[in-house]
Amino acid sequence: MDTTKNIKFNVQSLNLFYGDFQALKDISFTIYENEITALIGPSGCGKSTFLKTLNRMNDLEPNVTLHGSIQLDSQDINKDMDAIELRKRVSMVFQQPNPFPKSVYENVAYGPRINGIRKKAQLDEIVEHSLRQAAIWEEVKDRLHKSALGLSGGQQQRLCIARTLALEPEVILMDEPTSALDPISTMKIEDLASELKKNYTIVIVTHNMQQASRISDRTAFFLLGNLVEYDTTIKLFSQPSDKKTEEYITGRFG
Amino acid sequence: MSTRIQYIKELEKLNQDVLDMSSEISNAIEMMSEALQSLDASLSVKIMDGDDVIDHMERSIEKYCIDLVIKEAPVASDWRKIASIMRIVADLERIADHCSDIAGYVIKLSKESKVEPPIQFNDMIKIMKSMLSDTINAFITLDTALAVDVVDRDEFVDQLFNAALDEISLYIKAVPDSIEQYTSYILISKYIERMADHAVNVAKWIPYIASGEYKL
Ligand SMILES: Nc1ncnc2c1ncn2[C@@H]1O[C@H](COP(=O)(O)OP(=O)(O)OP(=O)(O)O)[C@@H](O)[C@H]1O
Ligand SMILES: [Mg+2]
Repeated sequence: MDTTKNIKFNVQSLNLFYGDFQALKDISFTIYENEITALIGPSGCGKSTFLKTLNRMNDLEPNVTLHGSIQLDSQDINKDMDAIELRKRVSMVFQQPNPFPKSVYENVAYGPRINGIRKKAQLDEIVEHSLRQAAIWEEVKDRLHKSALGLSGGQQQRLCIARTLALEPEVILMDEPTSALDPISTMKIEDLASELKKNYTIVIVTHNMQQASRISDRTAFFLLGNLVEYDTTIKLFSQPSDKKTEEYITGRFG
Repeated sequence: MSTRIQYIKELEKLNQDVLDMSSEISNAIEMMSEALQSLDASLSVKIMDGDDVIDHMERSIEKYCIDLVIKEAPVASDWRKIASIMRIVADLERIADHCSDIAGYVIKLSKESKVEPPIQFNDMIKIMKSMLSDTINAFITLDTALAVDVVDRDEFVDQLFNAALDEISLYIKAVPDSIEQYTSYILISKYIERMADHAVNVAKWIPYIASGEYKL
């Protein structure tokens, strides 16, 4: 454990079942504030399932049972917190960009408006600020009132990140956010993530090993529902301590 | 992601290339040792010609490593091995250079009147050769203990080197006319001693390849 950093999430003995199928097996680890934590592992190993437990998206699915505890800033998210409240603080960016079929402006203003912000000047400010933070302002400032569906995939993904930022979360969960994007857009999202970690805590699922090693501070390797190894990214990619991690990252199986 | 069969084959080829380069160098040392004993000028010329082949092997292994890094973005033990090989081949190449350097002095000695060579040469060469072959074995089998043993053996070469210098200075005092020859022998001793040092450099990479342990 790293005592020089603040712990954002503290996960202890987490077990998750879909019916009888155990998708997460006794997972314990800590996610640190203002860091990027990458989750890697072969398809079906439980990365998305784990990510979803962090903002209780699994609540929405029937027949999910969960044991163990997840604390966000020392508060148990399943016991002491309302799911809606939690999702305001911990929000998710998905693999496929999913902008609303509305204007660029409305996509970003939607959340703050629901949260009760009505003044146009204030909304304008939030929209611009969020789009700037998501590194897409220059590209969309002249088409704010055109449909978001006219943007490229990479722009849509950054717009979705801006939409998330407008809600001022503390943690951003990203599930393969660049797997549908070209290399340039991918690079932009990666730069953006590195920039955002100054103010946010980011947890990212990726199948791109180089992406994990480029942008994350720590990496967790999952296999068949187990957390096999969790360490600083430099250590995990240069000197993994588990044979299975070594085999996976060097392409001996997958 | 599927298993990277092609990549794993390429890594195996890299091992083989390093083995081939070292066996070429062992041959050169063998010839050097023979040429030195019999002051054989034509064998020395052969050694010097062969050095180009070894230089070329070094360059092509280096290039192969660079290509693998660019194509495959190796990590963990694969990366440690490739990064180390790029350093290791440079030391191996220096060992071969010193064989050529010695061959040059053998040619010079062969044209002068013969003097008694220092008795330490045989042992120095024998130990240095064992250091090189063991370090290559340790590299292939990732035998850290053997690598440490190679590092320790350098001590003996150093002692023999100092003894050889003492002996040479006695010869020079006794027979001042032979100073030309003995100057060559001084340089030859130094080259043999350096060859052992390069074997040590190679051996020092092995714990890093095996476990990632890197000493500053
Ligand atoms: N709603 C569900 N009902 C039943 N089983 C599920 C459900 N969601 C996921 N699973 C199973 O749980 C396991 C983990 O799935 P999960 O989606 O977390 O994997 P993943 O690591 O994200 O994989 P990928 O890299 O393919 O996205 C898989 O075996 C999957 O089939
Ligand atoms: Mg997934």
